Amino acid sequence: MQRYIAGRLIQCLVTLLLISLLVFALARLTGNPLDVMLPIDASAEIQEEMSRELGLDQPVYIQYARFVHRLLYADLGTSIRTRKPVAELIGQRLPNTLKLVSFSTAMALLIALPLGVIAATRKGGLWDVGARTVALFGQSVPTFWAGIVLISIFAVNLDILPAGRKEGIESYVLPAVTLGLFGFMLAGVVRLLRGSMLDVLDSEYVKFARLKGLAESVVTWKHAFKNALIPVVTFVGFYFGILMAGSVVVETVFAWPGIGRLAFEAVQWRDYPVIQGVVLLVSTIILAANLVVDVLYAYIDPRIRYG
Amino acid sequence: MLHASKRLLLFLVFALPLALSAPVLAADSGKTLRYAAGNFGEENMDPTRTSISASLGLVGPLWDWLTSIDAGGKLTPGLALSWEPGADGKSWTFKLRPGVKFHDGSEMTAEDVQFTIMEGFRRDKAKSSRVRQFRKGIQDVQVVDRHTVKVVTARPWPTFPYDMSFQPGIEGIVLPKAYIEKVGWDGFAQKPVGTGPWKFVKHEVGNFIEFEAVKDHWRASPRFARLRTVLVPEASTRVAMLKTGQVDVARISLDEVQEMSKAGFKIAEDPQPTSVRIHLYATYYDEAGPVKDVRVRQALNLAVDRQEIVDTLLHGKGKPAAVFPISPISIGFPAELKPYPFDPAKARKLLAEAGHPNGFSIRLFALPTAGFTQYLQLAEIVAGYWEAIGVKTTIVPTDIGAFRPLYIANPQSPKIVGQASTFATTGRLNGSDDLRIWWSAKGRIIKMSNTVDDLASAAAGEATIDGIAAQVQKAYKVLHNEYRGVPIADVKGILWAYGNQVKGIELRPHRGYIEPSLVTATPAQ
Repeated sequence: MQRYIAGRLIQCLVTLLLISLLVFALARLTGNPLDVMLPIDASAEIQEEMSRELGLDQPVYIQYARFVHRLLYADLGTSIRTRKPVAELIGQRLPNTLKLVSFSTAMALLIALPLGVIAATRKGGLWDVGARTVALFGQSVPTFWAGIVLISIFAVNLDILPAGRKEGIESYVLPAVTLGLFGFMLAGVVRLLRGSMLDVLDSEYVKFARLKGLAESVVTWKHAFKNALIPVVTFVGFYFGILMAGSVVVETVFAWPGIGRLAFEAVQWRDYPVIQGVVLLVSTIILAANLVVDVLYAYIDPRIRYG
Repeated sequence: MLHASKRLLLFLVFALPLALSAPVLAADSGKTLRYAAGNFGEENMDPTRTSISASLGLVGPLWDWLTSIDAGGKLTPGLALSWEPGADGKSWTFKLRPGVKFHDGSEMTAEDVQFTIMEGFRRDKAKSSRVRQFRKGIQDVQVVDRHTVKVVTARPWPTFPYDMSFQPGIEGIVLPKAYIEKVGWDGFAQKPVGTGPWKFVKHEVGNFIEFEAVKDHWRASPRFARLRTVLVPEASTRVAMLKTGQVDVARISLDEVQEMSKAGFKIAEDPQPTSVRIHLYATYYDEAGPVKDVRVRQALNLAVDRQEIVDTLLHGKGKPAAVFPISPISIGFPAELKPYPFDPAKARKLLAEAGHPNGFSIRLFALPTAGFTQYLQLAEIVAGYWEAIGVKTTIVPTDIGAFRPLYIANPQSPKIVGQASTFATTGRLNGSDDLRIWWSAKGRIIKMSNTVDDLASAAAGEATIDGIAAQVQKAYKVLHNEYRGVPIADVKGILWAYGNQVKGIELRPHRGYIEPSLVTATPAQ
């Protein structure tokens, strides 16, 4: 088991190193921060001065070596735009994104879990069609559009919820609904749970439970639901990370001060250290979530460990 | 075991949001003026190190400038009550307003002005737009007495008092010498201290900045106790927040004017218009393709119906322009030049004469600049006019970060030579500055013709305001006669909508760069 965990850890580190190289290169392909930051008429002299000050005059491999070297000391560098440490910027924003994503995940699950089960137990019925329509709708409506429509209905016309920004618990509702319901979480869980429930309901032990004369609700919720939940739990864990990465659009529409918008702004300004910091952080979270799930699986099922 | 792990995961999924989303108390909105800005720029609070236009936005409320200008571009007193040129024209003596206090309580004196120019905007790390001009053009700043300061320049600098106002940039502010020497530049950037009507309280990058009103300020004491500027990048969200009463003032674009007026909100505008136009790049070079020919440039101009663009796209908030980027309030504005007429038939004829009876192809880069949000629609409309005379136009959406390296290179990138782009900026007060920056070969943008180079140098070398004005007008006549570029309109497009707690706002010409200090905002009650 230790050997398995050690192997997976090394894999993760190699992946992170590759990601660092990729994001380092991709950020630089989009342009130079000086072109965005300096005045339209800045002289070549000023440009060179700034370039030197930011270390951008060095060959790219030296810049990369410096970046990785600093990473080893857990130093993400300093933002080119604001001159503040990247870690501090992320530290201010990360809790806001975590709160938003957790809230929307919880909201999506509260709707998706009963809907998925009902759809499976009443396969082909009105509830099933309804649940599948909701899933399809949530999957196909773009989040930025959904966000703007929700603002216009609930904030402007009905005036019952704030239009944007993180100010009070009620300000979570619209962005969380947008992210959870239209960010594929709801659709994914409904479809996955429906399929998995159908499989389980068809299995021998469920049939046996029915034969024992147990009430259908007990069979569904106590025997079938719990087992059907396994793939869903994996999906939710994994998708939590994806939602964090996907919060860029929702955070921009709702003026939510999270890491998604931090990344968006950093890309606009070509603020390399911030882009690198946010991407590495989100990658680390996704990798860590995968690692935990894999290790749990390996613990449960010895075939994985030795396979 | 399976159950335990599953429970743990489920617990995390449900418990995290509850643990993390403890209610956040809404800020007391009673006496706070709440403003939604669309862009916080660089968010560097040290004004000597903020350069790009938008970055000055955040620090605007903190500062006052040595001189001020009114809506018509006339110079008026600021931190300086009066100013006099030296007999040889190579110095300016400013009489400072006595009794002006920095936010830390110390008095602003001539020593602070000396420090601001000599050590602030000329220091190695400074990167404001006039750094080079300051380093080369200013020889010394002498403290005459506590409230008198003399700026000695290398050669006559007739527009220096204009350059000390907020219109051209940040360099006319006065920094607190004693405070910066005590806390250092980094400490100053963390907690800036200025002379403006609002005192710095708190700043969270990418989120908000808070100020507190300065009581008994010489210019005008704010009528609100606090100013809270929040960043809301999405325009429709800013509008929605204003409508729901979450903010009192919001930066809007032309597209939203009608909607906001209908909803009962008032609109405030920067009195100075923005110059909206199409650049034609590098007609300076021989390889510039069809646009090298003056008849082709004339045709591209005659094909465009400027009045229609003003009436539709710009909602009537502007006037067709004859030249760019000079502003009607700038020194040397050529008021006698008239916009080119709309004459597509003649345009087609000119193209045929120039050897393009079947038209030709051109790329039109569409890029957002100076807060002009309708750049893509403008590109589509202009492309429509050009297509109508047979010029096949391909629109290439881009942004300034990607586009700037193409025009800034010398020679310019072949990707844009002979091609076009949308552009919008607000003219500087000193018309010769824009001539040098945008049109001369020494400038780094359009690099037009040697004729303009000479006129730009001549304008920059003039010792009087009238002399500068005459040279600038001459240069624009040349540009106009040679159809260099496609001027579209001068648009009053830097706009704010307000309501809720605010009854009125008056604005000075800011070129849209420095966020308004909102010191004139009057409460609704």
